This record gives sequence, structure tokens and C-alpha cells, in this order.
Amino acid sequence: MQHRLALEAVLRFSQISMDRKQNPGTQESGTSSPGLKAASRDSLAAPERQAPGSSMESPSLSSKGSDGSASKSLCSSASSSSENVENFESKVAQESSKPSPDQPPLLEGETVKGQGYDVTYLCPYSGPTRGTLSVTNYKLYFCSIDREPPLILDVPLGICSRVEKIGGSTSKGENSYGIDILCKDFRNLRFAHKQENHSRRPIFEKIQQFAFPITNKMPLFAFEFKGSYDTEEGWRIYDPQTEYRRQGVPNDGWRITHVNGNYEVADSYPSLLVVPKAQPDDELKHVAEFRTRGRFPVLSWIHPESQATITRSSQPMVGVAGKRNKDDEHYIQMIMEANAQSHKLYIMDARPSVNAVANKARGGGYENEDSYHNAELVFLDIHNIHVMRESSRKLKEECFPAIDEAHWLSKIESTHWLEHIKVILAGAVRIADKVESNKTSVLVHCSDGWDRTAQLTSLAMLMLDPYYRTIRGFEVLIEKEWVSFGHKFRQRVGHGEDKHSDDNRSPVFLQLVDCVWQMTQQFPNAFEFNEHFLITILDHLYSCLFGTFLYNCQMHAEKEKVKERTQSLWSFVNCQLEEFTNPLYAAYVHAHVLFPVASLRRIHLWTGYYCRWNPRMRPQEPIHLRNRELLVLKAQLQRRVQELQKELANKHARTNLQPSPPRMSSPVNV
Amino acid sequence: MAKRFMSYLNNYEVEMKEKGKASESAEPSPSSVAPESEEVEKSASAFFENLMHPSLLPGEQVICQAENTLRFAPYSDRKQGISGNLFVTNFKVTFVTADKSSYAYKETKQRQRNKLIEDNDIPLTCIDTIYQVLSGGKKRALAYGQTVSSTSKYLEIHCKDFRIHVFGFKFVAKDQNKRATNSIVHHSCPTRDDLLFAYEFGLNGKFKENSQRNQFYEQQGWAKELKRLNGEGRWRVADVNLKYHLSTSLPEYFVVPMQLTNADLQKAAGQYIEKHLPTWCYTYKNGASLVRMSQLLPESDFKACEEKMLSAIKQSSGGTVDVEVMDLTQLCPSLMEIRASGQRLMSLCMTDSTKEFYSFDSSWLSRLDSTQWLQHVATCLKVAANATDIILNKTQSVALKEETGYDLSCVISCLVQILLDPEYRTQKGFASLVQREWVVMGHPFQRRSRLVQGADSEQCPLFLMFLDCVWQLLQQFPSRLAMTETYLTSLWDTQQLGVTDTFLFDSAWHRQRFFREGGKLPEVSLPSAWDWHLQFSEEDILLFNNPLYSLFNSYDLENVIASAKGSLKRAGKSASTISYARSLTEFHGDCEGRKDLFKRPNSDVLLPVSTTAARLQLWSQCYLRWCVPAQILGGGRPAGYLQQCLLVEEVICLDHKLKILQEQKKQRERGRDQFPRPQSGLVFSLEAQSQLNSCHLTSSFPFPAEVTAQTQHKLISGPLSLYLHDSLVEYEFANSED
Repeated sequence: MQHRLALEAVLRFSQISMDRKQNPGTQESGTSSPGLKAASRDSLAAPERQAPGSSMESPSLSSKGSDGSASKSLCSSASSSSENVENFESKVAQESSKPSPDQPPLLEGETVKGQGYDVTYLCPYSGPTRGTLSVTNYKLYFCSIDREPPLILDVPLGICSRVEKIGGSTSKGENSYGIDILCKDFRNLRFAHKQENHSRRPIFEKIQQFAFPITNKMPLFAFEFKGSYDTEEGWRIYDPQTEYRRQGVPNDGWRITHVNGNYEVADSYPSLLVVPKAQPDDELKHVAEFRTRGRFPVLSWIHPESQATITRSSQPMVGVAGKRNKDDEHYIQMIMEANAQSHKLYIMDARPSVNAVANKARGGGYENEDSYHNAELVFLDIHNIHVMRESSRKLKEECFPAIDEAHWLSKIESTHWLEHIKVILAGAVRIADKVESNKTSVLVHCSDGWDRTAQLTSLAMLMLDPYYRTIRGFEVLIEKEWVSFGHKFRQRVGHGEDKHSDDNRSPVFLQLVDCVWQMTQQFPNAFEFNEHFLITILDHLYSCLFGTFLYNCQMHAEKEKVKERTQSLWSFVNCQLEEFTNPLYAAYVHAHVLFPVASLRRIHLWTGYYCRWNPRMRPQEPIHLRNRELLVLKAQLQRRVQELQKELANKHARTNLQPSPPRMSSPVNV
Repeated sequence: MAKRFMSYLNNYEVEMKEKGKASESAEPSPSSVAPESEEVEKSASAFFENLMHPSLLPGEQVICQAENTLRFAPYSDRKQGISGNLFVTNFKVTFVTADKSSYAYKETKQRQRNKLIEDNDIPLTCIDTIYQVLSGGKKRALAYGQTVSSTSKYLEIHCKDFRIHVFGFKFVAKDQNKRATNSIVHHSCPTRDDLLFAYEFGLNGKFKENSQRNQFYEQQGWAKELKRLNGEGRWRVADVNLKYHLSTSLPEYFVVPMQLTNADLQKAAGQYIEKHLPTWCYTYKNGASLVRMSQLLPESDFKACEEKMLSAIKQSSGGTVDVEVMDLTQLCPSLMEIRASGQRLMSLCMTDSTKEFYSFDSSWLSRLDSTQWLQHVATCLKVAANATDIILNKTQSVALKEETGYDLSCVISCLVQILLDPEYRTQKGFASLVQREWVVMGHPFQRRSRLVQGADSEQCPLFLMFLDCVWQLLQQFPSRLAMTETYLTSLWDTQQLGVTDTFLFDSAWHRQRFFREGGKLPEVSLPSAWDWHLQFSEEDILLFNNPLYSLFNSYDLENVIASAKGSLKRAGKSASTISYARSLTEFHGDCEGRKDLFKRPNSDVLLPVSTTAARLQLWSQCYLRWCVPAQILGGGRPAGYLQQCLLVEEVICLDHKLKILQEQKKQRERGRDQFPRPQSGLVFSLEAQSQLNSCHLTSSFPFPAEVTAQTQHKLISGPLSLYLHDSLVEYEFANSED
């Protein structure tokens, strides 16, 4: 039995790896020189960071145009250093020779809107430091003047959740008068101002204005950002038709429908959908009527061999009366029948059963097993957005600024964050297991089908399909299951709105990324991307620099012409792939399903994200650097070996052309 | 259920016999007549008998057996298992079965197989607690020395390696049942150490004493180390304890300040608990030294004596700064705390049913917190880091003071030396460090692991805690130690094996007494734990090598690194123009990113050590490897480890190829023999790929943890040899050209 399975696995694996070989596209990144045309090279936003000081390994000062110190200006960022200066064409480059408190480095389209001098930043780790605070239409920029190297704070305003004044002009105590900023990325910032002349007022107003552009009826910065990337257009990464074709759709059981072409059936759905072939379009509308927000069941993923599927939807509108809908029942039957391997269908309701029952009072509910033949309903016990929001709030309290050394693990447990992560992962494992091991199709829904449902389908797909574990594939997955299927990014993140207690906000997408991180930890060589990639995605979830996560649904984004007017995060990512590549990635080993262990024994707190502002959390010897060195060495050696081989081959060819002495005479003397 | 087991066995017996017949008749028999069926029966059953007998080591004897015992698969809720015979020998509890499914299982597990003991055998010295479950379901722990009069339904054996074995005795005859239970209880903890199996083993095994490994029992060992550290002239090897006249807890030779004469030492020794005088551990390059000692007796003339000793140490360390005395009794957790913590950790990590496993999964973190284990580990690391800092940055000598002078002093002194000196991060150096600071300096291994009956309070998993500290260092400095976590886990297992010279005794004196007692016996000697070939195959030992360490420490890659750096710089020009994201996301720019590649710290010292609770991790390989539901199939740390091994192997192969090509370019067609492929000492350097083929990967790799039937189908990651797919590793490069 075991042997058979193993053999099967090997066969499958070889098939997939063949496919991979035919399509080598995405992974080649190494030598091509990616580049951002515009000067978006400045050091935005890093948390407190010391500008590169003399302690750094001195780079070759071959750059003629700029003296060594010029580099410092640009490079509050670690990565840009003097060696790069000569390449730098924008104005910023020539400006000053030091990180100038007056002149924050600017992106294209970014302008300074206000500045406060003699402001004290109250760093929770290194203590108060004095300097200049600048506000642009994109970011907060603080540069200290009393430290060498200066402490630089560079925060996109999109990260602000709430901006508050603390203390009054009569408050006593040092640094008691100022501004407090609550951030969405697990930190708070506090600035103190001089208590004279309402010194904080102008800067406070500017922050308020530009941190919450929607509230102030202004555009988000993504629409003002003028940068562009000389790479494959990020907006074209996901093409639904191509993606479904990759999955083998259309096929005998499934077809593409444009019934939602004008977003008439379900306004939060994408325009292109995949449904059972046997289902005519006009009847789809009847099904949609029975589902919350018209989100009727559609295909997310289909198993290449067994044809078992993952479909997603919103809850049926059963209500207290226990309404039935023949069309819906018939439709579910067709989903089951599209998979010949099994005469059963699992309906995975992401909610705890209590919540599902409670939803009946609001007209929603869940499928009655008596009405849906051969369907088995399973509740996955994932809590709603409000519980999750509360959990993340507690988590922030434990992680920032300092941690409770004596009871750290107990405190983490009391936030229940990891417990939630576990339940989500466990749900996804269950779905993947049914599809893979039982060859049974699964329909996933929660209430509206855009939060927990998206988490479950995308995680299950990540477990089942190695394509989604590549950088490109993951981008497709996010674009497909989250952006196009209407995860309400704008509401959940609260872009540009001064409503920090809005109860539509919730860390749903953060949880997804956390779950993905957990998987990358459990399978260190199964993912093409690294931790840095995941953190970058999260940072730009809030930054409002890119158009990717700005809207609630595809219809809305199209209306705002996001693709024409903003840059895609993926353009930015894909022009520097090597930064995001996991050196240990071994596609051939993990050509098939991954089943992560959904137990707290194997689920850890992502300190690299939640505690990243704390300098004590920084690794002494980052393992990813060591691994990357191996990759660089390998590439370097490989190149030199190839060069030499080529050279030798040429030489050999040349000597063969000439009437050469017979090979018998010792080649040593040639 | 039980009937199924029985019938399974019977079917198999029949099958075996038939097979026997078949093979017998297939062979052209010299008698040319078809053999008598009786004869066949006989030879088959002889074959079968043989199969059903345990393999024994020299000096090992079977004490009793229990037929028709069931051995339950872990986490099967006692619903799945195999039937066979349980044997109790003077060395182990072993289970022998004719069930073929267990053979199939064995074939798939090729790694980390111990030569001395089968995968599922239990060394008696490894047993921690024995639980008897009576037919009514009542469960009780059996104390050593206890005699059981009731029959057991199940016997649960909890081991010091965090594993639980469960045997079903339901079908065992009553007398065998009781005898087996009592024998295990009785023999797992004898009254005297000469009743330990090690004695018989040493008597019959004919091991040669490995003087290299035991160097610190002799004068030269100390003298050599002193010389290596430039301590000669300030410190001397004292022979005042020859024949253990002075102290039975100190070795015959140890190192003291030059200034102190034997007479001084004799006078002072009486003042110290267990006569553990201040003795030298280490001298750093800057002259500051590390010494260890016990506390003074309460009634002793405290000041005069200690001052004299300390001033002598001060003199020997340059004489300018006072010695910093660190009182470990105050700074570190007590033995009792560590013992209690260890027990809590064991009971937390050891579960045997899936239900139990998940029932406290949601409170796992707080339970782990309340074991205090990680907190104790953090404390030890912190103390060691402080001591290191004092020696390094203040050029001040440190004296570790502890009540007995042979418990936490061993932990801290070793850690400090590992932090300070790269030599002790090699496998050889680490072994000699442990040998010196733990074994020779008299850590009472026998009492701490309770190998013989004694006070419970003496038991303490201190060595495990030390290994855990080293493991934490390995996590924080992944390329700076030569060994892997597998090495550390195997070392812990070796201690539980109870047959090595290294981890059997309380002190050097105790060891000598054990070997030479009475003088009438032929000399007994035991193998050293550091001789890994005793336990493991060559290939398995390769899993002790850290690929990151070996690449950067054993190969001359400077040329390649330089050129790689150059190309990084060239690529960096364009890449840094898009540095935007990284600065957004990377907090400490100065420790990250492209330009930090190939950057190495200037100092050999491993500092700072992180001891914040959020950075310490649970050593899952050691504690959770038998925990089936926590096993990651196809993943876990081993997956990362193997990928690193492969990358390093590829780099080495490419480098080798490059060298040959360069020679060719120079038109020197030298024999390739001059460029033999370098040995990386890593698992993928093996040419025997068949080894890798049968080996599937789980997070417990390379330990042979079982996979249950429920999870077996998920083992689809394929054999380890898949790693070599598409790799650049060429085994027979030398022959592949022209």
C-alpha cells in the first residue's frame, strides 16, 4: 500500500516537474538588472534606524560624481550606499551630503507639506531624541540632530490608525505635550513638542490631513505616486482566463461564464466566473438570489487528476423559517456531480455552529443536510472579524513596546492569536485533505464569503498546488482569491479614514499572511518566497503607495481605474525578485501536497513581524543571509564554470579547424 | 481486537512455514528425494525460533520473557499494535515479533540506527518511570524496589528520552506477566553500580581504553591545554590529589595558580565543601581566566582562606584586577528547581493519545511557560554571557562558586568557554570540553540520572539543560558551531544508554573504583561516548556536521567569495535603486541585506547572546520527536538542513570542477587524481544513493519516529534522494570528461 502511494507520488511529482521545466519563466531573476525608473529609491519609512555610520564596511568609493558622504543623504536606508550613488539621477541625490532633517528624500509625486522643528521623538527603546519632523503627502519623516549617526524614522502615513494630541500646554513633566500616533503595524509613535505657541498644532493638522485623505476628501497617495517600474506590468500578473486554463478549465465539467460581466448578479464578485458546465446562466441568477450578496458557489480550484474541486460562496439565505431553494439545491448537486470520483460533497462552513445558527435570525444560515443530498456540513469554528480584531489588539499590547519576560508565553496565549491561527490552518488542512485524500469536492463559505472563506480557500490551494508556492503563483493567488473575489480591503484596513474604532476593520488578511508564514516555517524548502516578501506585502497593505489593496471589490477598483492610475505592488516586487527568494527553495522535493501541523507545538509567534520594532529581537546571525550566501556562491561558481567551459570549447573548435597535429602527439605539448 | 492480533500472528506463522517449504524444495537437495515434511517443519521452526530471539550484546543475558505481549503503536489509543514476545535482559527491554509489518517498517528507516540497540528497544538505564495499568483501568507508578503482586493489563514505560512505550499484557500468562513487570522494575534501577549492565559489558566487551579521549585523567592532558592557552608559568598542573588522597570528587590532576604549593592546597582543601578547591578552567587571550570552586564550609575561616586563594588567582591572571566571584547558587536556578522543571517538561511533552495531545493544545503555551524550563535555560545563558563579558571586556578573571562545585559550574564554565573560544565549537573540541569540565571534574552523572537506587532529590536533568543551552546558541549562531542539533540529541541519548565510560560515574575516583575494585577481576573497560562508531554507521555520523560551518571553515573559498562580492556590487547598483521596500520593512538596516552577505564579525566570541523570552525556542527535535501528531511530514528543520547540505555540496562540486577546468585552460592535462573530489562530510556526499532512497523525511528525521497508519498516506514528499534531483552534484566527475 505504502509503496503504491509512494510510487504514485513520485509519478505525480515527475509530471509536475516536467511541467515546471517547460515553463522556467519566473525564477530567472539573478543577473538581469531590474530597475525602477523613477527615483523612488529613498529610504522611506523604516522604523528607527541608524543611518549607516562609519562602522559599516566601507564600500568601494569608485563613484566619481559624489564624495563618500553624499551617500549618506540617500541612505538612511541600509541598502543604498555610496557605491550606488553614481547611478542615482534624481534631484534628491545631489541635494545634501548628510541625512538632512529639512529635506526628507522624496518619491516622485511626493511633496513636503509641513515641518516641525525641535520635536522630540520618544523612542521606547533608545530614549528621547531631538530633531525635525517632516510631513509629506505620503509619509512622516523624522531625523534626529543630537545623535551620530542620526536616528531616522520613515513612516508612510497610511500606517496611521489614530493621531492624537497628548497633554496640554499646561501639562507638567518633561515631554508630556505632544502627538501620539497609533499605527496599524504593531507599534505606536510618540512625539513631544515645546509647550510654547501651540507648537504642535500645524504639524498635527498636516498629519491629520494627509494620514486620512479619504476623510478629508483627497485622493490616496497611490494616485499621486508617479513612479514606474521597468518590469513586467504587475497588473497583468493575474489574468483569470490564463489561470483557469492552467487549472485545465474549461473542461468536461466546468465552463467559464460571463453572467456577472456587468457585476449585475453579484457586485462584489469578479466578472469572470467558473461554474458547472451543466448549469445554464439564467438559472444561476436564481441561485444567486438565495445567497447573501448574490455570492453563489463558483470554482476556486480543481484537482488536476481527480477533478475534485474547491468552490466558494456566501451563506444560503435560510432564515429562521428554514427556507429552501430548489435551484440552489440542484446547483450544489451539479457541483458534486462534476466530480465523478465521489458521490459526496462537503460543505465547510467556516463559522462556529453557534454563529451560523445566530445568522438565521438575520436571514442567513447554513445548508440543511436533508435538503442537500449527499452533502455533509462541517463547521470549522473560526471566529468572526470582531473577535479577531480584539485578539490582535491584545497581541499588540503584548508585543509593543516591551514584552513580559517572565510570562511571555502565557501572555501570548491569553491573546488567543495563535489559537485563531491554528483553527484557520486546521480548517484549511481539512479542506485540502478531503480534496486530496478523499477526492471529494468541498464548498467553502462563511457569512459573506469574503473573509474566512478567502482565508480557507487560499490556504487550501497553497497546500494543494505547488504553483501557488512560487512568488508569481502567490501573487496570482492573492489577486484571485482576495482582490478579485472582493475581500473588503478598504474596509478591513480602513484606508485613509479617520475612524480607528470602525468595527469593519479587522486583521483578516494579516491572519492569512501569518498562516502562510507558519507554513513556510514548517516547510522551509517548499516556498519560493521568503519572510521578507510576506512582510513587504503587509507593509504595503497599509502604505497606500500601490493600488493593489485599495478597494473592496473588482467593480469598485475598475470604476476608479486603479490599473491605469496606480502602480501594482507586484511590479515593484517582480523587479527585484532575488530579494524575495528563499535560498532553500526546492521545488522538486515538494511537488505535491503539504499538510502543515495545526498544533501549537508547531505554530509559533511571528516575532519577526510582530516584535520587529524591538532591537532585542534582532537575530545575531541571520540564517537567511547565510543561506543566501550559499546561493550566491553557487551562482557565481556556476557562471565561472560555464564561462570556462565555453572558452575551452571555442578553443577546441578553433584548434580543430586548423590542420592540427594528429591527436596522438601529446596534447600536453600543444 | 485481541483475536485479530492472535490470528495475525498465527497466519504469519503458517505463512512462514510454507515459505520455508518452498525455499527448501526449490534448492536442489543433495538427497535428491523430497525432504521429509517433518524435517521442513523442524528447520522452519528453528528459523522461526531464531527470529523470535533478541539479539544480545556481550555480557547481556535474558532475564525473563513474556509471550503474547502486544506492543502498541504510539498514539493509536491502544487499538493498533503487534503481537510478540517481550524480553527483559540485564541491558534492555526488547520486543521481538514475527509480524512482518514490523519488518517492512524497519526497512524504511535507515538513519540514525543504533548499532547497540534496536529502534524500539529500551535500555534499562533510559527508563524514567514505569506505570502499571490494572485490569480495572487503575494506573499507578511503580517505585523501584517495589514488588508487584497484581497482574498488569498494560505496562507504560516512560523514558528519559521523552518516549513512551506501551505494552499490553492481557494475553500474557499470569506468572510471566508478574515476572516481567517485576523484572523491569527491579532491573531498571539496581542497588549498586556493579549490578549495572555496563559492568558485564565492560568485562566481556574487551574495549581498549582510548587515551586520547581520556586525556584529562592524566597530567599531559592538562599540560597540553594549558600550553594551548598560554597559561604556562602562571598556572600549574597539581598532583596533590594523587591516589585521591585529598578529594574524591576532584580528579588526580587539576590546574591551580602557580603560586600555590601542594601544602597550601592541602591546607585549603579542608575548608571547601567536598574539597572542591578553586581550579582552573580557561584562560582567555587577554590573560583573564575562569576558575571554578565549591563554597567554603560554614565553620571555616572564611576570609583568610578565600582571600589567599583569590589573590593567587589574581596573581596568575596578571595581578591587576580583582577576581570577580560569581555565586551560582544565587544566580542560577537550584538543582531542585531544575529537577522539578525537567519533570514538568517531560510530562508536558510526553503524551500517548491523540485526544490527550489535542486536549491541551490550546493551553500548550501557558503550560510550557509554567514548566519554567525555558526561563532556566535563559538564566544560564545570561549568567554565562555575563561571565564572558567580564572576562572579555573587563579583562577580569571570574571564579564560579557553587555549593558543590560540580553541577552548575559545569554548565556555566562550558558555556563561557564555548562563547569565548572557537576551538570548543568544533566537534572534537566540544567533546574534550565536556570530557574535562563535566566528566573529569566530577559531575555526578550516576546520581543525576539515577542509574542506581538513591535519593530522588539527587536526580536532575542538568546535562540536558546544558545541551539545550548549546542548542539555543546553535539557533542564534547558525554557522558558528560545527555540530548539528542531531549531534546534541544523540549525545543526550548516549547518556541514557548507560554503557559508556563517559556518562556512567560520579567522579574520576568513582570511575577508578568501578574498574579496579578488588583487584582480582580482569580489568574492565568501557567504550567512550565520543567514539560515535560504536553506535552509528559512517553515514549517520555525517548528520552531525553543520553544512554552514563546514563550508566556511573548511574550504578555501576566498577567491570565489571575492568575485561573488564583486558581482554583487555590480548588481547592487541597479538593485539598490529600488531599495525602497527593504528600508520600509527592515528595521535594522545595518544587519541586513546585500552588503551584509559574506560579512563576518571581527570577533571570534559569540556575543551578544539573546536571552529574551521571545527569542528562546523549544528544542522540538529532542522533546517532540516521538510525538506523532506533532510530526511534520516532509518538512520541519531537517528539510532546511538537507537543503543546506545540498547547496554546500553543490558549491564544493562546482569549485572542484572549476579548478579542473582552470588546469585544462592552462593546457596542463594533468591526471585528475591530483584533484580528488573533496569530501564535504555531508550527507549528500555519499555516493550510496540507495541509502537515501528508502528514507522519508519527517520533522523527527533522522530519528526513527513512527508514522501512524492515519498519517502514512500523507508521506508523499518522496525519499531524500529527491533532493539530488536537478542538483549539480556529480559523483563521478573525474570520469565524466572526454
